[in-house]
Amino acid sequence: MLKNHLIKDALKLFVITMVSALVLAVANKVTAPVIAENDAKRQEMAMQEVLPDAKDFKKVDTGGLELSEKDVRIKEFYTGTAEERLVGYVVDVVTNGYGGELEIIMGVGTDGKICATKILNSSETAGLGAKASEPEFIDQYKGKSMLLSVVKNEDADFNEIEAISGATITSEAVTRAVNAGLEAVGKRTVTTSIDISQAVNEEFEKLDEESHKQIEQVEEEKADE
Amino acid sequence: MNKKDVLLNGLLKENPTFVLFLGMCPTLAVTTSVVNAIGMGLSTMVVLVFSNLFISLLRKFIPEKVRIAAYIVVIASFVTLVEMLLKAFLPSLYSALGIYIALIVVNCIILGRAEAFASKNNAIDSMLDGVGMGLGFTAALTIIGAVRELLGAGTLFGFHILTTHFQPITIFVLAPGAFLTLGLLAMVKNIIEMKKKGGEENAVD
Repeated sequence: MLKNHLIKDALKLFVITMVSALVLAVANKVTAPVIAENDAKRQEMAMQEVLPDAKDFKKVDTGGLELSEKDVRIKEFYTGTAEERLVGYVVDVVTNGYGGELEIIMGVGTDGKICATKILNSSETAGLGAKASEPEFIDQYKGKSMLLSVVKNEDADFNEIEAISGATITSEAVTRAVNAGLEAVGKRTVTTSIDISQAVNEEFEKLDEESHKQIEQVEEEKADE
Repeated sequence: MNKKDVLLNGLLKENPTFVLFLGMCPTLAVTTSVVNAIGMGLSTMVVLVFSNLFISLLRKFIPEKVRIAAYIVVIASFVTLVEMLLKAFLPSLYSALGIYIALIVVNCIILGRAEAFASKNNAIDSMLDGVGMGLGFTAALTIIGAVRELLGAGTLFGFHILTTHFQPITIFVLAPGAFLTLGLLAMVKNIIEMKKKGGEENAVD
């Protein structure tokens, strides 16, 4: 009798969980592609915002990129082009703020200067760290191109960022992320220019070989004569 | 209990925050500003209404012994479903409420009302109880949020109210401020209630 009850209860709970799982599976099937599309659209809009000159964005693999800043991760790296011409880079950087993960996206021009920075996701304290997304703070990064540090006084130098009062940890987190982004762009442009010079060298070598061959041919022909 | 009593119960007599002290985790965590508080309160209310409805409809099917497990499965599935639908079809609303939705699952008001009310009453009363409890929760959160935002940041709804001569008391938007505000407000509420009873009874039931 008791056994019967146990099995009956277990079966009923099983039915409830099965129905719930089924409903969620169907909902997931329906919503997942829409959600992915929304995310892509949001990402695209954010990229457009931080690098307005660019029309197309191409994702670049940054695997194995070593950064000097710790506690920072490059999530995405894009090159921005307009009419086949490179106009800048977009870097999506994740670090740890005061209240958890802090994700920023920044656009850097080909001159190495920051076009704009935007906080994508954060859980900083309202009224303190959350002020990081206000223009008063975040616009300080505009036009910067070198390693930045945070200061608490009001007259910040060119390579200094004035901290949000009461939210030094957040200010430092954003700055750390921006520094990492700048470093990534720096390293990436160095590697691309190496790529280019390598390609040019290879081209020259090919030309060399061809001209050698031609000379040899000519010499052979002469010898034949 | 008539319909009006069911509705008003959650607002005053059994206010989830100041009387039942349920759902303290989201109460303390998200009341850093009025906007956050209202967002959390209203999303909780929506979930509460529908979870009460489902539990009430299923109350004859759910076996006594495994009821808590069954409630949790139903509530968690419903919240996840809402989250997926919002994310897909109302992304702007989701970006405003997204951080609260996951927190709602762990809100014990939902489970508490399922156990204390929806499992024993019909669907309409259960939904009314959800509305009342949800409004009570929203009102309490909004008051806490307003006090914390005003004292801690000098703003209300993000607008500067006290700026020129007022140095914001930062601790009120930090975690300790949540405990302070909640405690002080509960005290104020108890004092008012005791005065109302003419000081005959000291303890609040």
